[in-house]
Amino acid sequence: MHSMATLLRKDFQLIQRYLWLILIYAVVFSSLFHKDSQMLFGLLPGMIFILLNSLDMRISNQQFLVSLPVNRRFLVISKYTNSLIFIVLGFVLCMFINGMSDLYNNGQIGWNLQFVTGMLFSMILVVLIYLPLYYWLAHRGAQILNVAMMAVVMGGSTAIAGIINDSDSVELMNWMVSHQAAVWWFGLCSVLLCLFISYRISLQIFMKRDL
Amino acid sequence: MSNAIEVTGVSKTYKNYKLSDVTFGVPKGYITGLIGPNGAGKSTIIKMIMGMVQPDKGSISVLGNVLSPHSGDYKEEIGYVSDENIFYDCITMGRMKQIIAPFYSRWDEDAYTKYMTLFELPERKKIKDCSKGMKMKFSIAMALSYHPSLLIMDEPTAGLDPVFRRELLDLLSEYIMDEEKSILFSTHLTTDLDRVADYITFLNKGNLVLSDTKDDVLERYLLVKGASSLLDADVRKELVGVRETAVGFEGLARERKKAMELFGDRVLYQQPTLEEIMYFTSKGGNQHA
Amino acid sequence: MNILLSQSSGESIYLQIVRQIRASILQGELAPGTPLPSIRQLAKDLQISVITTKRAYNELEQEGLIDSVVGKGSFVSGGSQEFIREQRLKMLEDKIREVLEECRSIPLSTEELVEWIKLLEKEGDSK
Repeated sequence: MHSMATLLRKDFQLIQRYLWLILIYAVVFSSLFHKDSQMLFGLLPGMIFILLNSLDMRISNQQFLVSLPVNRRFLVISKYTNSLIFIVLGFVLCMFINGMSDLYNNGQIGWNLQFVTGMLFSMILVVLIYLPLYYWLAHRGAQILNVAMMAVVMGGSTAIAGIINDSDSVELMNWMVSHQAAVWWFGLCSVLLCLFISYRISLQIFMKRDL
Repeated sequence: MSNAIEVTGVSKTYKNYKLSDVTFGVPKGYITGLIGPNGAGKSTIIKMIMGMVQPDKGSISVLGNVLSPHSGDYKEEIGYVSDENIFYDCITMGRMKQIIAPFYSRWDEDAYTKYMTLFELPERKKIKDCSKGMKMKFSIAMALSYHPSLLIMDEPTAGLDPVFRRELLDLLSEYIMDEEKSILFSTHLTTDLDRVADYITFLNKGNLVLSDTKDDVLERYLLVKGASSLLDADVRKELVGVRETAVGFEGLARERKKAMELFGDRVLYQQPTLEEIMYFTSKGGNQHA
Repeated sequence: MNILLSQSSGESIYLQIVRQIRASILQGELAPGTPLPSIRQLAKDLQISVITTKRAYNELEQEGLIDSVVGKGSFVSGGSQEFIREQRLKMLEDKIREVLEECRSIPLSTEELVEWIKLLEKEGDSK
C-alpha cells in the first residue's frame, strides 16, 4: 500500500512541471472561449494521460522503476490506478473550469452528468486498450503509440460527443435514462471485465520483460 | 563465510551472445570486482541481480532471498548505481531525491546532505544539465543515503575524474568498515578501483573464467617474456595467452610454479596486473600480434 | 608508525606491510601492548584490499610479533620480550657482519675496529 502511495506521489511530482501547460490548455479549450464546452472533456483527460505515460516511457526510466524496492506487479497495478486517478482528476478539472466559466456566462451549464459519465467510460476503455499496448511495445514503439493515442483522443472525443448528442441516439439516451440502474450495472461490469483482462495481459507482458 | 549474493548456474541466450552456466558468490563484508572486456556479460549479471533481466536457467539469491519475477522488497537493501543515468532527467536532483526517498524506510536526510555537499552537487540543477561524472556522483549519493547492506555498481568509474575515483575508494572502504556490508562493482577497465577489491570475478564472452580472492588471482599467474624459439606445443599448453612479435614473446602462465620449473632462468618473469590477466585471457591462445 | 607502499616495486603488497610493521616493532618504535590500526582501517588508509591486510596481520601473528584479540583488535605482542630482544640481536648481528665485511675490503683489522668503536663511544659520552 505504501509503495502504491509513493508511486502515485512520484507521478504527481513528475507532472507538476506540466501544471501550467495543463491549466492554460484547460482554460483555452474551456467554454470560456468555445461554444462547444464538451470538447474539453475529451481532450484534457486524454492529454494528461498521455503526458503521464510519456514521463516514464524510456527504458532508463523503466529500469529506474524496477530498481526500486517494489514488486513488478505493483508497478503494473500502480500504472493502472494512477492512470485512472489522473483521468478522473482530469474530468474533475474540466467540470471545475467549465463550471467556473459557466458561472461567468450567467449560469448556463454546458454539460450534463450523462454526457460526462459517457465520456469518462469511453476514456477508461481507451486507457484499458492503451496500457497493454504500452507494455507490449515498450520503449521501442510507445512513442508512436502516443501519437496514435493523441489522434484517437482528438478525433475520438469529438466522435463520441457527436454520438452522444446525435439526434439518432436520443432514443437510446432516453432508453438509458429510463433504465438507469441497468445501464449503470452493465457499464460498470463491462468496465471491470475489461479492466481485469487488460490488467492480466499487461502483467503477463511486464513480468517477463527484460530491461 | 556467508555470501551476500549467490549466482548459481545462470544462463541466458540472446541473439548475439549467451551467458553460459555462470556460478559465483559475492562474500559478505567485502568488495568484489566483476571484471571482463566489453560484452563479457557483466551488465547482464548485474541486471539479473537487480531483477531487470530474468535468467533462462539457474538461480540467483540476494541477501538470502531467492529471486523470482515477483521479488521486489529485497531491493530496499540494495544501493544500485547504473552505468547510465536512469533517473528522470527533466527534473532537478532535489526533486529526484524527493521521489526516491519515500521508497526507503531507512532514508537518511543528513547523509544525503552530507554526500551532496561532499560531491559538490547543486540540488537545483536539472539532471539533464549535469555532466556524466555529476550524474554518476548523484547516483552514488542516492545509493549511499539509505544505508543499504549491499552496494551494486555497474561501471561506476565511467565519467569520473581520477581525483574523485580516489575519494570513492575511501568511501567504499568506509562503507564496508562494519564487516556487514558488501560491494559488487563491474568494470571493463581495471582501474584504481581494483586496488580495494578483495575478490575478483572474471567473465569473458559470457563464461566465468575465475572467481577468487584478488591476491590468489594475482599470485596464481605469472607473466613470462622470452625468445620465440622457446614456444613449442608443450610450452603453449601452459600459457593462457601469448603475444608473439619479431623480437620475442610475452605470455601469461597459468600456474606460477609450473612455469618456473618449465622455463628455469631462460625467460624474464614479471608479476602480471589484472589488466594483463584480462588481456591474455580474452586474447586466448596462439594468435600473432 | 608509517607504512609506505609501492605499487610498482614487484614485492607483493602484503609482504611490504609485514616487513614494515615488523621493522617498527623490532626497532622498538612500537612498544609491546601498542594497539595496531584495525584491519579495515588500515586497508582504508592504504587504499588496499581488506584481505591483503588480513593476510599481513596473520603473518605477523604467526611470527609472534602481534596478538589479535577477538573484538578488540591487534596489539604488539607483550609476552615475548625475550623473543623481540632475540630478533633485535639478530638484526644487530647482520649489521656487524656487514661492517666486518667492509673492514675486510678496506682492509681494517678487527683490533683497529674495536679501538675505533671505543673511541666513538668516549666521544659520545663527552657530548
